[in-house]
Amino acid sequence: MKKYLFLAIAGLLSFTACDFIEDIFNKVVPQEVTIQLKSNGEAFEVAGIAIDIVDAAGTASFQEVTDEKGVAVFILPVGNYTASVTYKTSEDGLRLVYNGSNSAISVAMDAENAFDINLQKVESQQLIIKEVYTTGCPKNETGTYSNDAYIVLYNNSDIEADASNLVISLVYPANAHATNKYYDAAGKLLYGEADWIPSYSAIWTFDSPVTIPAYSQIVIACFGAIDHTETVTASVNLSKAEYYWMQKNDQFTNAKYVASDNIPATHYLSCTPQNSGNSWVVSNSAPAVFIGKMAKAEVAALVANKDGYDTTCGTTAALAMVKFPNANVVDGVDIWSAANIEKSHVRFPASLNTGYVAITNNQGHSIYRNVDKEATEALPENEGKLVYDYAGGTLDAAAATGSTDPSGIDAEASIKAGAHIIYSETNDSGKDFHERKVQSIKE
Amino acid sequence: MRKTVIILLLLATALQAAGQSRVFKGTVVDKRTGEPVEFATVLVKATEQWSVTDEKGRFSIGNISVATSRVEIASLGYVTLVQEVKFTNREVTDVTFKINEDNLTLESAVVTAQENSNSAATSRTIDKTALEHVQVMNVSDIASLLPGGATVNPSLTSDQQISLRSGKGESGSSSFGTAIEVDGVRLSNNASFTSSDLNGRSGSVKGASTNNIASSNVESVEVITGVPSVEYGDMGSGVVKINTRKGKTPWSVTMSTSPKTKQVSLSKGFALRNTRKGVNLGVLNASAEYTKSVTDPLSPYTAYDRKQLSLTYSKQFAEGVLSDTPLRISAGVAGNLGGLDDRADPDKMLDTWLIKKDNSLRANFTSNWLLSKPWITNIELNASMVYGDKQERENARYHNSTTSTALHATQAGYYISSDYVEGGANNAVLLPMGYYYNVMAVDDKPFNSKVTLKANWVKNVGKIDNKVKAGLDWTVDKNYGVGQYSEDLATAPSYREWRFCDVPAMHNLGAYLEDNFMFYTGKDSHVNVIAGLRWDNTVINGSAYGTTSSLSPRFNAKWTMGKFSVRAGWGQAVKLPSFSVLYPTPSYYDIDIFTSTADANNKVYRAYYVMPRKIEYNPDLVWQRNTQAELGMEATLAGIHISLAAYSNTTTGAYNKGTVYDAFAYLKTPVSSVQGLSIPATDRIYTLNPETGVITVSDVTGANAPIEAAGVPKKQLIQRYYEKNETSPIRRIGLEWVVDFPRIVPINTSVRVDGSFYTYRSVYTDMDAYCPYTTLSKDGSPYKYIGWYYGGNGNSNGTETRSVKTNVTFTTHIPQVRMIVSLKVEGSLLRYSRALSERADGSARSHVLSDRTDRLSFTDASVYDGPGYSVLWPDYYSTVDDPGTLKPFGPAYLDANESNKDLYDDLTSLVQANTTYNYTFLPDYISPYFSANISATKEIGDLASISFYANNFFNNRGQVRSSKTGNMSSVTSYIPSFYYGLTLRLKF
Repeated sequence: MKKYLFLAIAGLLSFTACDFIEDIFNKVVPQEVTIQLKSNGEAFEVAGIAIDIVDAAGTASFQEVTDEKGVAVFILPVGNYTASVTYKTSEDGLRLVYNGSNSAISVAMDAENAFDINLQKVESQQLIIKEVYTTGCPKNETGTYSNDAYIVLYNNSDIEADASNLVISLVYPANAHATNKYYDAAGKLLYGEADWIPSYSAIWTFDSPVTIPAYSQIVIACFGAIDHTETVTASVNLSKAEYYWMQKNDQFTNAKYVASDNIPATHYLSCTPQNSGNSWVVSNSAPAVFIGKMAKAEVAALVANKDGYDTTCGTTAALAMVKFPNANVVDGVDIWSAANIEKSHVRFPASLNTGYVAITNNQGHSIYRNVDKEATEALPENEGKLVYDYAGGTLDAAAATGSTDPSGIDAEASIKAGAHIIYSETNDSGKDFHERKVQSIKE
Repeated sequence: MRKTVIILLLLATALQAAGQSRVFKGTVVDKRTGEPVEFATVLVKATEQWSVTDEKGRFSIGNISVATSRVEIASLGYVTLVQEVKFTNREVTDVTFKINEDNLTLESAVVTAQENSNSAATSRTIDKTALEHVQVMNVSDIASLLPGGATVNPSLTSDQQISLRSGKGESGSSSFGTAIEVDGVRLSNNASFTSSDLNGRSGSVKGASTNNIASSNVESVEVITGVPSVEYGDMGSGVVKINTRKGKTPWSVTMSTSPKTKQVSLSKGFALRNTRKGVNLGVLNASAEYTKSVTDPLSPYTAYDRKQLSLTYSKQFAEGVLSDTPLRISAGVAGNLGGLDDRADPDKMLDTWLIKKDNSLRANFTSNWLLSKPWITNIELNASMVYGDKQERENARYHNSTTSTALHATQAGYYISSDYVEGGANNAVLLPMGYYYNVMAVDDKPFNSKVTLKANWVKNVGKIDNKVKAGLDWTVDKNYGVGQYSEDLATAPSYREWRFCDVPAMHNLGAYLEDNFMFYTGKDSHVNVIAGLRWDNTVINGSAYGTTSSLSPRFNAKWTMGKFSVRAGWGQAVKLPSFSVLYPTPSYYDIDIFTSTADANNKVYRAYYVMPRKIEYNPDLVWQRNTQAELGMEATLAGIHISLAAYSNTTTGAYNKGTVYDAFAYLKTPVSSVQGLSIPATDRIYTLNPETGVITVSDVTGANAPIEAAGVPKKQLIQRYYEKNETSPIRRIGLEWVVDFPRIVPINTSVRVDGSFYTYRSVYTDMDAYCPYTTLSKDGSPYKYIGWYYGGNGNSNGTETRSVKTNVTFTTHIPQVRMIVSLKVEGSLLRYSRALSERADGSARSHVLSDRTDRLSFTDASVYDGPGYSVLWPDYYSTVDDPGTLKPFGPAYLDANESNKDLYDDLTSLVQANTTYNYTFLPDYISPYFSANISATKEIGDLASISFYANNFFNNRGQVRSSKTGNMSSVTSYIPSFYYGLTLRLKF
């Protein structure tokens, strides 16, 4: 009897021990877990995206990267996990952030253990116009000089930007105060509801691939890419090797501009003239400058399609305008001459830009972007590097003239101190820009 | 010439003993003082015999063949007296003519232009009283005194011309065709290059400037707007004869001021005689004037000044063998120094200035020999010259941010910039970087001389006076200026040498014959017929123009019946071309084929392909011709004097500039082909193969082998000009009226109403080429098509205008207080203009677009029917590969729209669409407007007089409406702004 009792106990123990052992075994043997990234219900097939998984206790974390199908494979013990992804990329001047998480990942024995993470895309402007200097400066004795115009493009993000397909052009008319037919009797912009803006003079494209690192800029000389300070002290040195140059076009027979040999041919921009005229006509008074995204071939096709031109102002080569699609506009700034505010009109539809920034001509002033104070201060790496008490603006409250950066942050001094600047981007030229006393690149 | 004169003198001396008839002797005295008047001219109108009084006021004219004649007595400072004289006796010796000193004590004093009632062509004279009353500063100001004339504020800081029976902005160069003579010296603009440029159809050749004529020395101005005598050649329409002071006068000082102008002058006519021998040595009139006119009275520094000295000497030789055949000589010289100068202007950039000289020297000699023979009455020899110095010098400040290149090459080919070398070829000079000054000058020294020999033969038979005039004249136009140059070639901007003095002289030999036939049909009635023919033979040796001959017939007829007369005239005139028409300033097309990168010192080399836009001589060029017809009448009814003149002026073969296009190929080297070469930028030497245009980069250190840069072949069209005659006529038709109402005695006031109706129409019908050759074709190559347009490539190919202007002048003259006040109200009742686009037969040239944006769809409407956007297609087009082969444009364009979009887009550049304004061809009526001017002159005894004027003294600054645009605009665009002036004259 005793024998049977032992056998029974042994049997029970062995049975119980098997479950226990098996249970123990199963818990320590990892399971294969697949996580598929999805966006809008479709597989997000991008390789190399890191997926982080943390267990329910928060004590263990795992990371794998996706394959070309957007799938990452983990080997995890059975249990509950939370997976999360942040994927940053850029496209055509936009900064794209894909965020997604799944806190319902429960890994079980012999289960399929296949989970999805649905990504939410957040777009933000990556490439912006940081500065426009076209209005000239005084010559050393008398007279004014405006062959030293330049535009600064800036990567307003923490991701390297590909600017290869970026284009630069102007909105008609060349001066905000110029009489033209784009306004009705009440002053309403006739193409305000349209899906295009009238691009004027020429569309410029980069000859070679261009990338702009995070929080960095490129300087593009509009006319002469030389050291203008050699003869005009108030001007700027545009001969640096890292600068870019809008090179002369065959049509622009009146242009006498040259580039320094320092500037490599890979830093040249070419243009497709769209209006008659023997020179690239960046106004030295009140231009509206915009950047857009468009491949070179598309630019050529757009300019060549004369039937697609807008002829509101006339059908002649001087007055028919290329309709540049709003969807391709990345950034723009509407600059008005301080002396002609009453006569000026906005040139962008409200969907792209509102407001204007005024400038006094021929004083070496430039239009400079305001700092997004909150976003810039929020960057942890900026701790202790931001310089305040900006005094580079032209605001004269007593005379009610000029403007300055309301953030108070001295962007250029902060950059020199190692800070990363995020500039304001509200699509309102009046809020995003101010009139700077001195060109930012002036040494 | 000297020999001829001597022979003629001997001949006349031998013949002087021939048959005698009546002798006319008498005395001329001052009516008020009874003192004899010396140097008065006595003219027997019927026979054109004359004499000049001696110091006792005596005169003598022999061989008078008529029984009666009007006799005219004229002397400086006196009112011209015309009196009928009967030569019934063989000797009339007891006549005393009493002439009145010209001043405001006389009832007859007038301050308006007076019609010359004896002339068979419309002619008006403005005398000293009128000139002083309106205070003429520039002789061109007299235009306001002609029928319908509008007052302009005086200005000397820009060149002023006189243009008769024409409007502003018209084709046909009317001011160039207006003949202006100062004491018989023609102010020709023919030889000037700087002031007579023909700038395409929109421009005209400008006539001679009147700025450098001393206005204070002008005694009278005669304006012939009708068909002039054939003795006037080289003209279009209209003669302005300016007579300066000649004769014995007291000292005269004039001081004038207005906000922009100050003037002071001094004159005196001296009777020269040897007191010991009592011999009359003639009379010398001397005049000096200084006038300064500023551009801006608020900043009176940039100024035009006129410093003029005039001397006129005249003498009659009537003693001894010349007692019956007096010889009168007159010689004058006038020198002017002055011009525009802004050196004192503090608003100019430091050390920059502009000096435009307006120096001139005029000289003339006239000898008039009264032979009074049955076969010749009078012989006259004139010689004159005008030399102008219109040099312009400008000191400008330059700034180069890099080294720059100045081109001086005149031959086609490739050129690359290199450092300036003293005495070197220097076709493309490397200019320094930085700031510097350079003086550029244009040296323009036109010269005109003229010699005239003229003979009159007067025959009086019964009721017929027949006067025959025959003459020869020889004119020479030449320029002695060196053209454009720099005072420092090392820093001179691009310019090309164009030596005016190398241009050959233009000679014109004119010969003319005119018969003036007068038939007296009654006591106060006669018929006057004048017929003449002029032949001009223009010789330009050393040029392709060679010799050109032209004939100019002219006729005038007038029937006078008491106080009524009617006249008619028809005539032609040819205007010789200016040198700018014959030899337009050469221009060059400089194609930038290479620009290097800038080195560390901003040194940049540039290479160009220079293509002269060579201007071909046009062997078919003929002289511009004007055909004038006129009908006029004068009548006095119930004391109201009415004068009407209707005219038609048609200009044919107007000087114009034509355009042709040629293709040429060149090599272009992009800058990227030399950027980043292994040779450091500062060590590079750029050389150019002048034949191929290939750029080679060498290393000045020798460390690197030379590198040949890759070029891109290009082919391009180039525009060239040539001078031509327009095929279509320019027509002007008008009517002028002057009505003088009888004086209203109680208020000492007379009223004149004058005005003009004027129409102008010109439609350009030449087939002109146009190519937007500086743009690119669809494929990125230089544009390769040429459009051929009927009437040029403008949307409009013509203009028509109409105007009605009326002036009312109230003149209050109170002789008792020696004062005259005039109020002139100038009104524009009709001012109309319209742009035209049509063919010679009136058919459509431009079309109205159905849709503003669609160049292919037209409506049936005419562009004249109402508002609409219009389009002009070329009639033909040709290509860069074969510019001379013309293909119909329309079918090719429509076909390209269907099948060849690239060609369609390229050809679209030739389509001239007018889609900016829809009112281009609408009639433009400017609403009526008025302006009032007041002038007053007061004499203070015989010693002084003072004049004051105020233009637009109501300060009318209202608005006028344009029917074309519907817009209102300020009337100040059409009338003078408020302006005033004061003149004080002293006589002692």
